Amino acid sequence: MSFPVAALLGPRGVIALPGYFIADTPWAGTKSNNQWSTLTQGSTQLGGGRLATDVSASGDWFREDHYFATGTFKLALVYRKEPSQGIFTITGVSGTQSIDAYAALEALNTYEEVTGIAVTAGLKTVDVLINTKNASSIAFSGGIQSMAWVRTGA
Amino acid sequence: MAGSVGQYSIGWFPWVAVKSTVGTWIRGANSSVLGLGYFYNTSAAQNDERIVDLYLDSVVWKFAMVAYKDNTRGISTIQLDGVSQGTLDWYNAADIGSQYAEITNLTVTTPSVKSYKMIAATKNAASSGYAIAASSDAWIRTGGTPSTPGGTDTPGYTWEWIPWMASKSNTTFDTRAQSSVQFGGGYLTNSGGAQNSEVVTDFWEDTGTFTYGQVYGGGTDAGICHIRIDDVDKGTIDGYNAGNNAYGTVVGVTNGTAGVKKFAVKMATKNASSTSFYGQLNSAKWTRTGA
Repeated sequence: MSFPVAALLGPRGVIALPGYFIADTPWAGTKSNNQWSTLTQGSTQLGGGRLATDVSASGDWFREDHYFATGTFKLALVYRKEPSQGIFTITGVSGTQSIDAYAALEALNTYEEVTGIAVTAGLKTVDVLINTKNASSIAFSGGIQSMAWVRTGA
Repeated sequence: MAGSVGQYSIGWFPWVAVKSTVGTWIRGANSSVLGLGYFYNTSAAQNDERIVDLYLDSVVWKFAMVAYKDNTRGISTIQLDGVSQGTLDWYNAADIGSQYAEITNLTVTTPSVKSYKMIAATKNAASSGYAIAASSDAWIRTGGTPSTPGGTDTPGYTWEWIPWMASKSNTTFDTRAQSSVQFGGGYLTNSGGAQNSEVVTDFWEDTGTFTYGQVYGGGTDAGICHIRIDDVDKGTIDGYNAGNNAYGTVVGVTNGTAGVKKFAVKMATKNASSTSFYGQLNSAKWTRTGA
């Protein structure tokens, strides 16, 4: 007689765990993507480069799974701003977070955060999508150097 | 404490984000240091600090930092929940970047969320200030028994490692090389190119199917990277003539038992055309792709 593995390991998603600080560099790999897999290296970029969209079309995305603890989080991106960039729409953790990567002039190593994200513990599938853009932007490109989730409160 | 499982090799660029700071901190790009930048307290004042929370299991750890040394630098006091774990002095008479230092044999007795603080509490008598410019922070399990080897709720879905930040152990695979033209701002290498050079660290892996991906490099002297879990080959990536910033994968790696795994990249073999077993590893990442 064999025991189901789940019975030995116990239920999932019950006990808050180590998802308190998730520091991720997407160029090192993603779970899956749609037209977002170009590794663009640069000597003036923090971390040595960014994961860039393959084309400049609407609908590019990449996906990663992470385990989050319960609490209040902030999302922090280091990314590239410039005139052809779209808006990052991030879903899967709690609600929707948006960061506009458009700027009239290129700015590598831009740091921006979204605070006050209420999260319940569990495995989250994080999707980063570009399907909108600033009215001034000429395309839907994107390039992210790092993506971090930081628990800031209970 | 059932279910309390944490990652066992945790390394990151401090500039990606922090929970909180005291002092004025900036993200500085610098093409001449590992990571191509650092997180830096321009205020350079005594007791400048930065904090993140980490889940640390009740095992033995080491803390490692890569940072800049010069005559304006302070001493990093590394705290967990307000208790000092040791110090690292970043003073040096001459400017020099990408300096590696570690504090070993740090025993955590209770698995829980810890407030990790790096505070510039003191300085070398010869230093003029308390500035700390770090390229990386890392916590690496070096011993002890995980509190919940069975595991329940886990973080073992996506695990990323920048090898030059720190490893658990190695066999002639421990040279940090800085490069402005490479991802990660550099790589870890077995500079002698010896056969069976190996770099090892631990991570927590859930059950399921995984894809392994690495950014790496190599020339005509490169060996074949054997991607190993618990001393068993899971696939290979050939570095021969790879150039810089190559990206290779091993797909469909299945794991039937959740738990702490020994992960290693071993230069066990080589392409018939290669002259050596040289390895150049920029990053490693395991991604769970299915049940």
